[in-house]
Amino acid sequence: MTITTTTPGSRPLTVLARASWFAATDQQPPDLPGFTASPFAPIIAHVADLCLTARYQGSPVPPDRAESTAMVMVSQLGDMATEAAVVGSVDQGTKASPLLFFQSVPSAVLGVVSARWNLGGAVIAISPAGDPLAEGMDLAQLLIEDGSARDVLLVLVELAVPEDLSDHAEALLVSAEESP
Amino acid sequence: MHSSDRAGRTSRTVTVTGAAVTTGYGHGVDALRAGIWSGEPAFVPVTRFDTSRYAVGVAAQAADAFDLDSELITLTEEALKQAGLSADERSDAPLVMARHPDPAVSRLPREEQESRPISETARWLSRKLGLGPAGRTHINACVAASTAIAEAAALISAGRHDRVVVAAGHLVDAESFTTFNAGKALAKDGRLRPFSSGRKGLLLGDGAGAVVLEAADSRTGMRPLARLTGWGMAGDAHHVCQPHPQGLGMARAITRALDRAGLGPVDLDYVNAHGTGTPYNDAAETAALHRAFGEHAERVPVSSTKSMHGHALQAAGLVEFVICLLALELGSLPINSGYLGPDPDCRLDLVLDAARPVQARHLLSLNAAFGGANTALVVSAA
Repeated sequence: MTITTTTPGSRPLTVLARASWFAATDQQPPDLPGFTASPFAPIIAHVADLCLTARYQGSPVPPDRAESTAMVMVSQLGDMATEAAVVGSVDQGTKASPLLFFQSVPSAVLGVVSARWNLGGAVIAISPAGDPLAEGMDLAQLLIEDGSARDVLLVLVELAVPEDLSDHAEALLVSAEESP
Repeated sequence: MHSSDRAGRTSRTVTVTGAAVTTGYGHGVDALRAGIWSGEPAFVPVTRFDTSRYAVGVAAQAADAFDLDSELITLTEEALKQAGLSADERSDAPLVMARHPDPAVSRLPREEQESRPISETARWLSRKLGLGPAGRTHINACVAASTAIAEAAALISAGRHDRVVVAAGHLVDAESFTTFNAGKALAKDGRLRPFSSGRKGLLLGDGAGAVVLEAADSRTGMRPLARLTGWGMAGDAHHVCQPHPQGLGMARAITRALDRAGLGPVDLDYVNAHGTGTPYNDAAETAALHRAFGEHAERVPVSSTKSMHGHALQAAGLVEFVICLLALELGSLPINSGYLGPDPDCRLDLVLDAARPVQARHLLSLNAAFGGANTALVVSAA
């Protein structure tokens, strides 16, 4: 599948694999040891696994691609559940779980994904000013055009804030190269 | 000005034309210059919130009352004025940001949180300062600012924009103290001692600032402070929060940045290290420097200025980038403060005791973060 990005003069990106996850319809992702209080990290690890498995069947990613595969996490609000746990600890004067130390960084879980799949490219996390997919694809395009990456694993994730919505995530493995 | 890199891509030269910063030394580049080159750390007892429940009560706190958004708009305006951008030139320049989510948003009713994305600050700053559309806000922790600078450089180098403004901010607050205290990461002896024997951990510091990056010769009247000649990013593929003990990711980031700049280790006059003063990080960073520099590793002067301004987390890369600009301007390398003695895992040519006079041509600024993220920026004389 080819997606045309909006950047003038840029080569369109090829989607090598794609996976999505919706809390309302899909099974809960497996627990992620070492993470607590929030579904944010387990969701990211799960949807990344689905996407990379669709492309490579299993880990690790072949060495000739692994070192040049960047990861870009895209989230407008970040990990609001962990943020709420930290703020709750401050406001109530209770001792915070040591796990919240590294989990307070929304990109920490990318260390799990990269270790599982041996991805050695850039590790990036952004809050987009515009449409998350368009912004993520634009950044992936820039990284590839700039020579900073050959492939990019984009992970878009949002924890539901309004009660009537549910958590959701999507992962895309994109490249400027044609899918073989 | 155009050039071709080793991969054959056509790229434009990236220059720095404006910089402004606030740290524990106070508001402005002048305060940072005076503070860092005094060799005296900026750590003071924190008065902004009650620290009695934490193991450590000091940080490089700029002022008791410190509003991050107000500071960011003041600093960004200062950087824009130094660059001398016209209203039209400002309106062409996107703003790329680095920051942590605002804890105040987590205290809002849930139905109000959705309208307060982390990128809100970038949109507000862009609107207030007459800049172009807000760009992305980088939230990858301690490499957020350096990644934002790398993205800005890529946007210019690739010809997408003639100029990009980068802003970054981190405030010492109760939330960051709570998490770092929970992780037992704060130095109980009240000093941040990078690469030293007996180092106990890190200390936090305020950091806010902005830089203006522009394509060389993209307008008349430019007065470049320096060139950003290389940038590299790489992951460790190792662990959620520990660096690879052999520094694999950081070594790759360094090599990528040097390759882009067309330089080798022998060309470097200084490394501003990530150097958090934690046992794991400093040993891994040393391993990365040895891996990337080979036999030259112990000949390049190194210091971590976090030993004086503290760890500014999402703003760290921008504060340390500005210190590299100052080192070029002054012809002097800042010290690695708090040093007690050698650690066999940290064999480096550390700048100790006194600033070292060097008319530097090329400097390297390094940062690393949880998630195994590593960045390297090469700052070269204008």
